[in-house]
Amino acid sequence: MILDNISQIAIHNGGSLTPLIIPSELTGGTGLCNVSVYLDENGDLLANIRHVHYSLYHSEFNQKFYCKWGALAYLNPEDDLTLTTGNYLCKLDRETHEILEFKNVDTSKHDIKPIWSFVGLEDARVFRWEGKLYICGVRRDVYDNGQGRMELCEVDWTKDAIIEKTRERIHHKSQNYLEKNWMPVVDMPYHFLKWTNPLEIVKVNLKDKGKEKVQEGVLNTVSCETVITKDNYVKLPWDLRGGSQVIKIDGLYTCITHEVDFFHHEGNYKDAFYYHRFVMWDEDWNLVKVSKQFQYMGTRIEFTCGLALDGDDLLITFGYQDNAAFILKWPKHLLDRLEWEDLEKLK
Amino acid sequence: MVNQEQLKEQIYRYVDAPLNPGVNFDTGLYYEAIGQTAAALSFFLRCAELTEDDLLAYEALLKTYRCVAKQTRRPVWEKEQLMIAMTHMPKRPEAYFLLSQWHSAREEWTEAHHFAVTGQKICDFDAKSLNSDVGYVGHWGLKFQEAFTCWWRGQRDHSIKLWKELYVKERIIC
Repeated sequence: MILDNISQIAIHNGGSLTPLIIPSELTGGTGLCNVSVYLDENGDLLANIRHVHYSLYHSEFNQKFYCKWGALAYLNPEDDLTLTTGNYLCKLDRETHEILEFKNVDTSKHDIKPIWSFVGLEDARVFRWEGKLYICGVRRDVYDNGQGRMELCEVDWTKDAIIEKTRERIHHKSQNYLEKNWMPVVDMPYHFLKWTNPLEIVKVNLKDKGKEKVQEGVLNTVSCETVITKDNYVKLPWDLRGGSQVIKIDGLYTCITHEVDFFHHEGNYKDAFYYHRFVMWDEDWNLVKVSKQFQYMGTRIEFTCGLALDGDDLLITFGYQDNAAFILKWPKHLLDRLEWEDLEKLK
Repeated sequence: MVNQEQLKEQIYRYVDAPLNPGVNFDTGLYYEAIGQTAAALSFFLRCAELTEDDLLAYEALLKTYRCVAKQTRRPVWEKEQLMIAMTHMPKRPEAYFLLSQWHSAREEWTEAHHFAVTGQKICDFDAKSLNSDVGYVGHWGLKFQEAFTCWWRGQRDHSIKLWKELYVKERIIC
């Protein structure tokens, strides 16, 4: 039995759930989702909200009402078949978690003409390394086959604007067609948790810069290499994919992962269910705990990009069906309310 | 106007009853009221899927149409969603009216005329009203659409007759 509504546990036990809204005059009402949260060194609570230029149609339960394109469909403008993403960086009130200030990230300095259907920096995580504020997500629009690479972008937050100051496409010597959902380790600058099960951590080498010529321009690149691996594979039904940043909680490196049960209904109509887990490692990256699967608000597509610790509360940010954005305050002691895997049995 | 605190309270009601169709519908209304039409779409669609009440499902489907129509530039989806709603409750007038409007906005007079006339012949105009605004102007709307489309289909005498009836009986001033 999957714990499918952990928000309910939170709101009745000292936690809270807050919708994050960017005015529809700016977004046209399309989806706000996949939020990342970060508690900055100066006490500012930051969030990056992904704005998608589509609405997700997901027919759940008995699925009586497929739309023209099936049970699961991206309702992008029909005269623009791209699935385009923009990002809003925000400051949140630390008490109420409501948005105090927001600005669209201005990417114009580094943009080139997109040539694939997924446009923009997707599922960006926000964090600060060595004094520099970054967002880092996947970009898939520079090759006509949709190749995806993580891009590390330093942002400059001024009084009037938030500017993408640098954009560096990260290359690893062993990389797949689509590299995404790498999780930044907040207190280990330039380290990403690239793979969870088994563990692989990479380190970006900012000094190894390069250029990559693509059809519509030239990209700035940096290299990275694998620096930590562990033979800690545990048998789980689906791959553990990246989600939040990796933060320290009571001495344990902790993140929230996602996994996808992707399938097709009769007639080749695609569908997917998403599940999440807490995963924890000790200081030497030995796997310590893996929670059982959970969902946030009882719906089948949710996605986490953010985890922060504010006092005794975890702050978890997620998207609901790609259409709505939320921040969940989850008192740390409620981790005991989750169910946890018996790792010995899963080895 | 819905404020952040009211929306949050509604979200809490949802979290306590995520499978309740009415709560999902109400959550959709809150999001719709602040223009967050993608979020509203999610909750209206959940309502339609969850409820056993055909009328509520029909109303929720029309709401999904209305939310996405407000985003503009999804015309094919809009039309099909209205047809799904009409198929679900073929004796209700709202979907006929909205489909007739959808076609007349594109100067597709034959289709617009078809839905205006067929709706008047098929629909039960004594059925109770829906509880929320789906863009239906009232029962005179189908006759208005018939008058409008006849004007463009070579039936101007009939069109003038209908305009007069609308003016006299419904006090509709065109």
